[in-house]
Amino acid sequence: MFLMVRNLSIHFRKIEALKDVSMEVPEGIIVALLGANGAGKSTLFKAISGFLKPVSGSIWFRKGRIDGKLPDEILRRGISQVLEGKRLFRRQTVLENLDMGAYSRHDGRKDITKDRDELLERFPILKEKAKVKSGLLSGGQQQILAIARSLMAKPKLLLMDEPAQGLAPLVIKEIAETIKKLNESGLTIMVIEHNVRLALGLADKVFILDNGKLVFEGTPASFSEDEYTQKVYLGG
Amino acid sequence: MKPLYRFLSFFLLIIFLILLPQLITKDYYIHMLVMAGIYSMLAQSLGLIIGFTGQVSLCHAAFYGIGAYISALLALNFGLPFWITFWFGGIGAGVVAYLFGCLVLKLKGHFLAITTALFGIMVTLILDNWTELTKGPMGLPGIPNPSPIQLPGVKLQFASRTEYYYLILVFVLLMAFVIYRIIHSQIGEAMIAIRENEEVAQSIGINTMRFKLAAFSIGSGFAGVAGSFYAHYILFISPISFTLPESINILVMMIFGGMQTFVGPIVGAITLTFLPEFLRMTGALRLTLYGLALMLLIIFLPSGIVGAIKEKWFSQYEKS
Ligand SMILES: Nc1ncnc2c1ncn2[C@@H]1O[C@H](COP(=O)(O)OP(=O)(O)OP(=O)(O)O)[C@@H](O)[C@H]1O
Ligand SMILES: [Mg+2]
Repeated sequence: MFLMVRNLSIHFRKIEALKDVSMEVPEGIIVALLGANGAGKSTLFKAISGFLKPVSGSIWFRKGRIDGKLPDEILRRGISQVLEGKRLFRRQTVLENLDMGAYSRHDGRKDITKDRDELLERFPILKEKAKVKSGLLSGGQQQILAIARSLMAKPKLLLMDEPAQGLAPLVIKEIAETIKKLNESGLTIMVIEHNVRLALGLADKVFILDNGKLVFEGTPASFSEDEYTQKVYLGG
Repeated sequence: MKPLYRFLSFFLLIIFLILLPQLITKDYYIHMLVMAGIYSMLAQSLGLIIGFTGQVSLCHAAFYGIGAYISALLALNFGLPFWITFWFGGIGAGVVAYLFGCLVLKLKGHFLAITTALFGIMVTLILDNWTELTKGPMGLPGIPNPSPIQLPGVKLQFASRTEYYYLILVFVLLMAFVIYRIIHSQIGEAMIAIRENEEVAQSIGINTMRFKLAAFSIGSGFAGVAGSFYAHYILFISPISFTLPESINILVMMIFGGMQTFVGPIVGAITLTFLPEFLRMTGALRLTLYGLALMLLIIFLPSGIVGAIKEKWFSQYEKS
């Protein structure tokens, strides 16, 4: 299995943010992760990318166990995360941000520049703003830069925490298309998304967390047939 | 600046610094220059920690003191010459910083500032109270001069202040070279990324703890070397020279010159070593004026002297 989470629990003092969560993600798909505020979605992502250490359980990526490893090690193994809320090096330019995204790579300057130029072609707005300080970009542009920067690490699995947060519908559509295109080029993607319709349209597989527990897993098609989702999301 | 232009101005600066003692007649001003050199080491090494890596340390004078005491004790008890003790002073301070850093560099912002300040106070207390070793507030007198060295052409005896001036000049230049190489390498890139946003730095694969520790121990290590030099220059040390106010003094020099620039802290150290002297003619108002000058400068030039010049330079550059 590409990514496997087994009986994962994470506590913050008395709060049990994740309780015995298990999931499997095959290679090459788009996964949507749903759930109310505080359900534990970001916590799960942070555990996968090494920002948080689990109390119990394990995480496996491409046959290697990764829980307890440091974020830089996990990134080098191929998991990159777009943090919640477009975090950038705000005083640095778009180009500098992209270059920093390649920090973990050890192939030559040439390959890195080549990949960067490819990304600039793929996201023309970044090319246009190449020398602008990233803090001065609009919210949508910043989000695209954050995504592009995480791609500079050449990940095999991309975790995106609410990439559509605070963006205009048109920009959200653009980001959704970007996600699809990236997936078509072979990247496995997991997205946290509050908009159910958007998530269902995008994903091959859906997981729902509720209060730290995994309460649903299935395809978008099975979503409307499930008792839990009917009650909570479809108002049935 | 074009590389050639840059090289030339650097070359001229070195010539100037070599000739400088010849231009000065008063021995006291040479002493001020030596002190400016020591403070340059302290401010620039603190710049690596705070200015480039963003880790607020309020115990720089403690590492300065640790270096001074290690050196002095080795010289007094084992008869080791300065040329050996300064290595122990620097490495000793670096090792203590490393161990302390492992404990506290997880903390951020105010918490780190307060914890490091408390550490500084604790070091002062130890120096004051461990009287068998440090002689407490009485201090350690009789530290030897650096033993004479024979260089091609000249023999340095360390009998005059001018010889100390040249020695500290070499120390400052060597340290500046090392720090320059660090901040212009991948290591420096990682440190700046941590300063700008630690979480993002982590998410792009930087082992933030490792680089914070590196900056903290290297910076504090250089403070230790400065302490060794101080001990073998003044020939007497006591805890009062290495207290929290001294840490803040170094901090102010660094901010004043421009902590996020390479030369800023040195400019700040030199200016603020001499400024109180020039204000001396104002008599009793001296310290008030000094404080006022500092406040105004920090309000109007928040990025420091060199920072402000750089901003001006780059904004002109962008317009054209
Ligand atoms: N560092 C932390 N310290 C203490 N509690 C935390 C921490 N991080 C998260 N929590 C708690 O863990 C629970 C899950 O938080 P998490 O951020 O994973 O939610 P989420 O599903 O991402 O919510 P949202 O949709 O609002 O982003 C919440 O109750 C939160 O308060
Ligand atoms: Mg969240």
